Amino acid sequence: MKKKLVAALLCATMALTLFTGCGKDKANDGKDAGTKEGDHVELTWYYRSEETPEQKQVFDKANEILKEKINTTVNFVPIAESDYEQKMQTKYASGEAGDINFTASWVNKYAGNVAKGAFIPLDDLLDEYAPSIKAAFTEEQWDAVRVDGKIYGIPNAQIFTKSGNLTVRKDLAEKYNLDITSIHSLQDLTPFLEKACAENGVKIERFGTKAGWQELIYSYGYDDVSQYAYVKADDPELKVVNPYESEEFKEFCTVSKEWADKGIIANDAMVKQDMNAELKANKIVARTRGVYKPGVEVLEVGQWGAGTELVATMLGDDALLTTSGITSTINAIPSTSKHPERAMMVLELMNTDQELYNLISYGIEGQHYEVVGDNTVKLTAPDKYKGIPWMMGNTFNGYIMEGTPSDINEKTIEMNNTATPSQALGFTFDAEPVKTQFAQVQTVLDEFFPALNCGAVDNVDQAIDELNTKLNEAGMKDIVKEVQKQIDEWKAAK
Amino acid sequence: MRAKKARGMSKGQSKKNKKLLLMCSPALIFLFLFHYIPMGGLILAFKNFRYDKGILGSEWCGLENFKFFLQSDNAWRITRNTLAFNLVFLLLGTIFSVAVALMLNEVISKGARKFYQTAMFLPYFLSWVVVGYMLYAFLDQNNGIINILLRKMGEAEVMWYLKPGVWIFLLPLIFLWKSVGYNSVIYYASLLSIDNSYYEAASLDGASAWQKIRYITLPHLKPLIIMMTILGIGKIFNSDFGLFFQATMDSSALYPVTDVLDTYVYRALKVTGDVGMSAAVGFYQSIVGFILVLVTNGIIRKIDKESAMF
Repeated sequence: MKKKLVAALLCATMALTLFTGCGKDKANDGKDAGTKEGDHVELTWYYRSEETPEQKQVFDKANEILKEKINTTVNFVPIAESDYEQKMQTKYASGEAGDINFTASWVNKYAGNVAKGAFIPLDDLLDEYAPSIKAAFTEEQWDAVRVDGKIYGIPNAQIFTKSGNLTVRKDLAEKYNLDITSIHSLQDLTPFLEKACAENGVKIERFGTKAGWQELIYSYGYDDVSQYAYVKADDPELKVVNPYESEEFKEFCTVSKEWADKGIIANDAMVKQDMNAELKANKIVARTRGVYKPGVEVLEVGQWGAGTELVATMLGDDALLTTSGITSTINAIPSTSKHPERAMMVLELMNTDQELYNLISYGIEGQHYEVVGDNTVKLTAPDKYKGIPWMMGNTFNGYIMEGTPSDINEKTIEMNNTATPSQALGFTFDAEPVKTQFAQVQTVLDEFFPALNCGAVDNVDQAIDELNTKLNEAGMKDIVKEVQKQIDEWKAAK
Repeated sequence: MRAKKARGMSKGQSKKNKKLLLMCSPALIFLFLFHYIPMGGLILAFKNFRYDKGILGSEWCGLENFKFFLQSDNAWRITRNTLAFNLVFLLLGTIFSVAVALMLNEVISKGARKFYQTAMFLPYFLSWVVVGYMLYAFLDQNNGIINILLRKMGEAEVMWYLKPGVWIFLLPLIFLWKSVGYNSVIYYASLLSIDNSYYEAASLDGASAWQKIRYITLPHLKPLIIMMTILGIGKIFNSDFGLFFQATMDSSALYPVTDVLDTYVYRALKVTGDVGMSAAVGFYQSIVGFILVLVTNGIIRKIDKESAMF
């Protein structure tokens, strides 16, 4: 029923766009229609976050600053995480996407949105209204957000690298004398997990969708130049491969099977969509993620049960600088925005004005956080207001969290600067020519991937063969070929 | 106007019609706004939709959008699952709903009847998400009621969400549990409208309870059953997303049995979010459904003109 209602609404809004479509041409060339510079303007900013009870007080305060400095007010609209992608797609289709949108390589996908004409190019606006944003990134970093030579979004300065991240509960690591820095791969962890899981009734976080392989590909040296076909980040030839045929994938699946047999992975893992409840209940001993960053053991602790302490390390040899890493959080201006200039001014202010940025990120001082040291804060009421710093602007510009190293920003910047750039850095894949194959490959992965990911197969080799047979029937080879074609063209143009 | 009146519509009738039309108008306007105008959006199925170009401005792309599910090597599996389950649902749904309605009719105590009705009606109002978790409480591998019982009895646990075969029977069961209460009310309401004198006359002639059902009740229900069936057949390509997605916890091991058109499309398009491709599926489902309704109605008209819907 709900789906039908949504469909009906979607149709209705689509029908409306038939009529509204005519009026929006003006906005496309990046000029304010009928608003003089300096007039008061109200903008809308959609981003991916849960609502919090005291957000209005924070937004009102932010608007006081915005009103005073650039005579603009912004209607901040957080949209629940699980709804974000779907709601934004509907908003683009109906031409009601506001003026600033959060987009990324992993959700509300940047490249796809650009290909479908959801955003305007920002090159001229950046030069004119946002000189400090423009200067904040290197040419190499800007290349990552360029599509066909144009910039369609502004990355939020933060950790840009991709690498395998392993976090382990500190109490158990200490109990079994685990030296986290000695762990470089999943296999290294097996002896510890075996003991810890058997004696404490805990499991590693692994479930039926993505955590696992897809977030560890960077630790195996892959750059996900497209959703399904990858290149090796250090391959100067840029040969595109189907990663599911690789030795690394086999290795990963073999470890998963071993873990499942030894009870390290829960036997109902592949039925789960997440393990947040288990995390909160302290039934998880370790987990892997796609980004290792300085201070991660403190920054992630909130997702675990109360009182948990963590230790973390980077899996693999090297952190990689990839297009997907730099585009992992972006703010863009939709093509239906009536005030793109003002939106750019807001973004510039959010990225330069510390007071405004800290307000949106951490709330009101005394009410939602207290300053506990030099530029360091402690959240006191995360249930009343919780901002998402990395979604709103330059994270190096704000407060740092209590418990993280005081030089976390310097360390992060250093990591960004010293990480090995992927040979494909700056390449963005346009999936439109193979969207039929994309759709079919996704359904194959949905069916055969979870069992491999959770080690719930009888014979790893056989299961991988079956997966690849199905993938090839679904058009995996076409995807590899298309990615190779585009990446060759991109290389030649460079 | 004058000519129209002369052609047999008396003044009183026309006035009455006007009133009726006026009463209908909110529903008609609603129907027009939300069911007829959006049909224009169907052209999206044949377009490569771009947000900045709008519906009319986007380029035509022929049947490109239909490819992903018609050419998929899962096409046979999806079609088989969708059609087979819906046919089973339609058949069992009708049989059980009518049977329950008949049984309700035989219950003499008013209080008991109300209780049965409400108890069976309740599941219809539960969201599929809730139903999914209720089922999970029974079938969960480690803490599910059934597996705990099996363990207590010394039997081996069953991994319910990894066993496709079981779900061939489970899904119709869940479907019936959730929908029979609601559908039986429709039949029951129709039963109440049957004139009591038929039954009285039958009793005088010494008809048994079964004979009354066979020769009075069922013939009276026939038009309604046929109408509900035709409507059901029109939706035969639209599977219940909640049932196949939520109730099965979207477990990938069950796809061979539980993958139906709607869940397949959901999975295929959740990554690309392509408006044109989803419109193509909607177009396909509606057209096939429409044709099936016409065909079924045509067949019924051939057999028994009185019972056809139009």
